[in-house]
Amino acid sequence: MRTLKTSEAAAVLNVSPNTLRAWERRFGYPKPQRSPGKHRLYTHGEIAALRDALQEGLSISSAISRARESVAADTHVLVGALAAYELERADAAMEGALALRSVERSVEEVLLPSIDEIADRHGVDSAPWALAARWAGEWLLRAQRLAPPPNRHASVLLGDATGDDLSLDALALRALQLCVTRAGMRAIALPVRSLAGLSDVISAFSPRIVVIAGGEAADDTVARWAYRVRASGGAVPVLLFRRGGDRTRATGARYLASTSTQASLQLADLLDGGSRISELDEDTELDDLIPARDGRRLA
Amino acid sequence: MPSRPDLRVVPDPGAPSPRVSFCGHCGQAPPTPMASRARVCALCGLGVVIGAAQDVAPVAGEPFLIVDRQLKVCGLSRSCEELLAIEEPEIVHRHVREFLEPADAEAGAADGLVQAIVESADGFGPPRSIVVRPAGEYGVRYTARVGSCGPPEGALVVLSSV
Repeated sequence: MRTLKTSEAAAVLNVSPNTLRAWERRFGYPKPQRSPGKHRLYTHGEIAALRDALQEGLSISSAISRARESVAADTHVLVGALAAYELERADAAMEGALALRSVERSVEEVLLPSIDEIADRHGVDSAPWALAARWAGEWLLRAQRLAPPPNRHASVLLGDATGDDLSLDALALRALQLCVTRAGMRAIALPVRSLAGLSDVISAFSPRIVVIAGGEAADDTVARWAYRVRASGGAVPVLLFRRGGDRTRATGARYLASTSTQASLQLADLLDGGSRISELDEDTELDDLIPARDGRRLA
Repeated sequence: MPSRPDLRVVPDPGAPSPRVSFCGHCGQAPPTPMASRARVCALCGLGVVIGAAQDVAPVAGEPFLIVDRQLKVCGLSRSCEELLAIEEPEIVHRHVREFLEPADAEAGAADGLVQAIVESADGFGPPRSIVVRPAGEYGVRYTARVGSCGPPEGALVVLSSV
């Protein structure tokens, strides 16, 4: 995917860099990524779509609406391919999406919404859904294998509490794993049911953050797993990802954003010593995640 | 010798009004000839530069809307945002009748506004004046000056006090 710096994007559109930033504030578009140095990076496809739309639009809003529609066309193509069980065409649709966006945004703006659409159309207990979810899971694994090696020397342990490989939460977890890996961290996903040998894995990877993802596994199961992790790896922060809002309010536990891109940014920020997770309570301990039983915490 | 009246040039009432350029957001004319050829306003950066006949184009901060031939709002000037208490990104591609409706009980056709917009957006029909009001609001009326604008072709609806 080709990216443009602010000055380059502004030159393509024949506007000033300040104008481009003003559009981002007012219209939320074009939406840049950030370079490692926190500079804006625009995808060439979005800027080209906007340049063309400006010639056909009677206002900036109108042009941006057209550009958004042309970029959103990838989702329609992918949904169509999956609905027709044409998996090669689905691969091609993702290739098209990658020409306009980063891998993270392609997953978040094209792949996951398309899978959601299939779930809405057919239900998550249908064969079309299973086929689409299997394809999406494999696509995410392929992307994961192609990700650059970690450069942060920090590991994130993802506790898989999703329960079913073909659920929306399971795909979101894989998307998070991909985003975390692409952000330069090492991401290891383990099911929360697996307790045997857990301490060996923890010793080998020394995770600095633990994320419990998904809402299917019972609280007791999660609590036992988290306790073992803490017993082996020390008092690492434990965060929740797509594990139901009510639990958060009840326990005051730390909760990541529900989108994989945002969640991985929060994790990177946390590793860098920042505090993007505004609702985090610094005093929150792992024990807050563990429901009390008979007046005492689970061990 | 009988006196012969002086001959002088008089304006042709049928001649089209000269075309002027202005920003679809701030309403200002481009400051330089080069800026008038740019697509985006060099002054505010939040509107595209469009052209319209001088007798239709907004003057001195007059509020205006730009509507396409499907009667969808494409743009809104800053002063119109203040007048109608809405922001352009919220209303783009919504039907113009959600925001303006004819308000002249004595006028013949109730859909005069729609007709004028469609004709103007198609690039024919002279500029017309229609009394309108914000949709659903009674007691507030404006004169809407409707004419062609572009490119691309659309209808310019300039509001002024009755």
